Amino acid sequence: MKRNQRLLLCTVLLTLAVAACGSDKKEASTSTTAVGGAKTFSGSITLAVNPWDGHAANANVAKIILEEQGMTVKLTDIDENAVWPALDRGSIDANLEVWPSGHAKDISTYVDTKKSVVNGGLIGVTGQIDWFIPKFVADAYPEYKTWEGLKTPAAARYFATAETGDEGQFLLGDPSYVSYDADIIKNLDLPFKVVVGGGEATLITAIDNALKDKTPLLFYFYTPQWKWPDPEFADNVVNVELPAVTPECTESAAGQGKDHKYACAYPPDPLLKAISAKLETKNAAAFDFLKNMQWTNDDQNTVTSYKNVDGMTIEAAAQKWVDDNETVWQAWLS
Amino acid sequence: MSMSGVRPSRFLIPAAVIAVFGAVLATVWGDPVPSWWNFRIGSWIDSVEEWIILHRGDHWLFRWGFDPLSRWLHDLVQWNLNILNFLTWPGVLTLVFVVALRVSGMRAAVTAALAVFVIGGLGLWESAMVTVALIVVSVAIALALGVPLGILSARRPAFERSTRALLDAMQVMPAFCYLLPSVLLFDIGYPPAVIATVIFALPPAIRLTAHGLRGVSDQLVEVGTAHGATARQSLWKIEVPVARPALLLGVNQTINLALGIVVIAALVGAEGLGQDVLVGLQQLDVGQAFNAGLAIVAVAIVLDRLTAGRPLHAARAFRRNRTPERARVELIAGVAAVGLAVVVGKLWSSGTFPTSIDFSLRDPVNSVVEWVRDNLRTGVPIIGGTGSISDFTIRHLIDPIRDFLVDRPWWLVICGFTALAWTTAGRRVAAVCALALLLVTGLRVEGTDGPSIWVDTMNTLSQVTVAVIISMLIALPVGIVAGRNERFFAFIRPLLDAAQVMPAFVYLVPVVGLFNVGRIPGVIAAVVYALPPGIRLTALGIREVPAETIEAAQSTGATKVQILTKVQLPLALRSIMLGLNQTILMVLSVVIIAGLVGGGGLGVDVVFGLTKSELGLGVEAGLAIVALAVVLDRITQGWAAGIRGIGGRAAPSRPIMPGRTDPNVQPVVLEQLETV
Repeated sequence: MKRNQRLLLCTVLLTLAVAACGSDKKEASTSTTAVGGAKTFSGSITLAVNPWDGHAANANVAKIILEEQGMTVKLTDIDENAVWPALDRGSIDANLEVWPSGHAKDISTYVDTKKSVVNGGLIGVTGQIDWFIPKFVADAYPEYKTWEGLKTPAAARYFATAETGDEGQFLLGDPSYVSYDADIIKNLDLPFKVVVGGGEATLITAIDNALKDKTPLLFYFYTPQWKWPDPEFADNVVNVELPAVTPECTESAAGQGKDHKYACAYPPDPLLKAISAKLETKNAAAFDFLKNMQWTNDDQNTVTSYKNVDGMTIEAAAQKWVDDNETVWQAWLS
Repeated sequence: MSMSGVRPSRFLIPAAVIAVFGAVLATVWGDPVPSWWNFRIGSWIDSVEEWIILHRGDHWLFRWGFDPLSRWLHDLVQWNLNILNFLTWPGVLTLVFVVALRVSGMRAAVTAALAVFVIGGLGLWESAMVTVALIVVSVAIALALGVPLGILSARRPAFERSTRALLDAMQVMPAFCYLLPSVLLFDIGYPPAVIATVIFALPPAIRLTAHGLRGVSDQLVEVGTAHGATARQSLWKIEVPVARPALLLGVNQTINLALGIVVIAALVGAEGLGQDVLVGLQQLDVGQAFNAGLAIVAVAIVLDRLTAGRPLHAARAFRRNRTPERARVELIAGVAAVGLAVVVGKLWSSGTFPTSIDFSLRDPVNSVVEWVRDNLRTGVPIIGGTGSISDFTIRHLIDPIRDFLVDRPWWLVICGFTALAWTTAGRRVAAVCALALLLVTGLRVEGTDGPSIWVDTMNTLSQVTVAVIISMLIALPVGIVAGRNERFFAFIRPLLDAAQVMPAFVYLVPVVGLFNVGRIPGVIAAVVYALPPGIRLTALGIREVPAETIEAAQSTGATKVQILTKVQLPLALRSIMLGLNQTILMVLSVVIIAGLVGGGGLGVDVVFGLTKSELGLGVEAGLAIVALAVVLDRITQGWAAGIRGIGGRAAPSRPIMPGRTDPNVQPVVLEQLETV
């Protein structure tokens, strides 16, 4: 018995030793900036990818450009809330799309107070949240296109579901996204009730159902989002008009709506980049590039539609955009 | 509920106590819950969180404690992953086959090898290897901690009693709640995933070890001591072998639960199959999510077969035929086979699974989902379609229960539960229930100054009730059939395993598509997740009825139906009650999922709290879920313990987890005694 045990032990240890001396790349990440001339890019960085297409578009385009310059870029899939401690430590170097309305607390903690994360400026994409109804509803009942039209008991009955009883249903998606809807409904005296869908996938499924079955639905939605390039979606939903933004609403929004006074349409949300403060010393060239990187809603939508409408992978879609738009991104390198 | 010899006066004292209790609550606290009754747990946790964030860079706790631990965990997983990648896919296939053959026999080995092949064929080999590396490390740590603690728990009842509530909390508290804190403490990637998995999978390891060891008959231990065995020899040579079925079941359940966290681990940057499920979900690509879910089930099958062991008679035959020479030959042959496979793998396809073999189920599944959604949602004759079923169930089942609970004054509901607990489980449990529910009223929603979390708790309770009722209505008949028909049971067993391991996220999108956003998809997810224990324990109960008893009934001329209703069911009642208990716990552990599909209640409070970085709120909601679990668990356990089962034995103090049973293990012990 003993001999067998020893033999087994030796074999196992030998194999493990050989195998374990394997790939765990922890490369140093340095770069030099040549004085008064073109920058040299080297070393490696890690970019976050949050689980939505627009974010992946930003990250993949940055990756392709930087790798052409000679860097190594690693992409890490991670939730938009879990990314902040990682930026704080420097395990992730940058998050290229942050919706400030949904992350006011994180920004205040890490950027303003602890200063371990830097506001990398705007990515150039602007987010906009709105209320929507299906087009067939707008055609049949044009009054529902404005918030005044939704005040009637008839509207409540029309939009009611088993979940809301006598009141109309307003469908919210992911509860972590900024939402003043409960306050808007209460302050404008609308006979509606917010139903929290729970996640974006749930929300989109419900929207698809409503469009297919021609059932009424009043819902929260936003741009940019991968549904918009699809004409079957974009042509069949209509905006609901809410009151224009007033100074009180702006003040309420500054406090994340905690005073429960918000009663207007949503203000536009200019999206930011969050960069780990450590990156500035670790890899200055990459830091500057990421700060300079800025494109438009149209650019981002082009990439995502290559993926969702044309069926490319996100990497191929990003590559195509990079190939077609050299003039745009050359400016980011300087 | 059989309570013989009940005298009306027995109810006087409990009724009086509860009435006084209710009066105190109504007058001192009032209705609704007053604002001063607020533990401010939320704000306390928020301040701890702030402290952690501010001191993460420089405090010694992190520099010398959490950071090294984090790095060690990362290295451990990476090391495992390197080995798996080094082996290449033929190597892994051969290794799995060889080990399963040695541990569990030919049939298990073939199943395991097939499952490995399926993982590759689904196109998810690399992701699967990461998941396997994570699971192996997490389960190893959970067992290394759990088995000694289980032994301690078995030997010292005081320790067991004091840890019972904590283990309940660990199992029922949504993994979401300790995921974000883990990222704060341990960085992203593998370490928080391992920590979350260990926390979630530790309770079954501890409980089943303790349960198995407690089940060892005292006489056996005495025989050993009479032969001169020390305490250690007694433990390892008598008790552990006899407890082997329960211990193996513990390993199996630990693995299953660990795989349940895989998807959530993806949220914190851990790669693997969970990532593939999430990506599929986000794009509403049910086929891709299903593919990844199937791969997770395949991983579960592989790990299960590797650790299952042989059935008893086969184990004895195996041990009898095994000489040292034969063992050595087998070992060398095994190592050689794996080595050869590794070489072949490296030469043939440089280690990656050939992409030509591809039976990804993505497109077929997507087509099926489309068809079902287009044809079953509306316009089905008579029932109207899934949409109408959903609305009907809400209006006539869930809403009435919810309105009943929410409209009653909260102190009346607490008194009701206390009374229920007293009659079924006794004074002590009644006190625990009353305390737990009172604690819930002190928790807050919407931050420290919002309204009490009580209303959301009642909302969740109404959904839990309906889910449990539906689940038991299905589990009972299926379990009865499975108990009486061995072949049927063998047929559904892999389906039951799959239901426990397949991430709910995979089938949630199609379910939402069919049944409307709201409480029904969550109820359905809960029912699917909770059916396996209900079915298994019912089947176990039916099978445990001795054949002699049935023969005796048959000889007196009883018909099949009479035997079922008057003999088998009453004797199986104790197991069925335990099935009910497990069903309730499983349903509660899915409350979060319900929150992600429109269920509202505590589920959405947890998600909201944690995703808005309101850690305190998320934890308070999690605590409310735990309190509900404690209350319902104690009540149903007490109910089960009061029922006279077969032979009138007292129920074990912990629920039995379903799975392998090995009724006759005494002979194993006698063999072992010879070597003492």
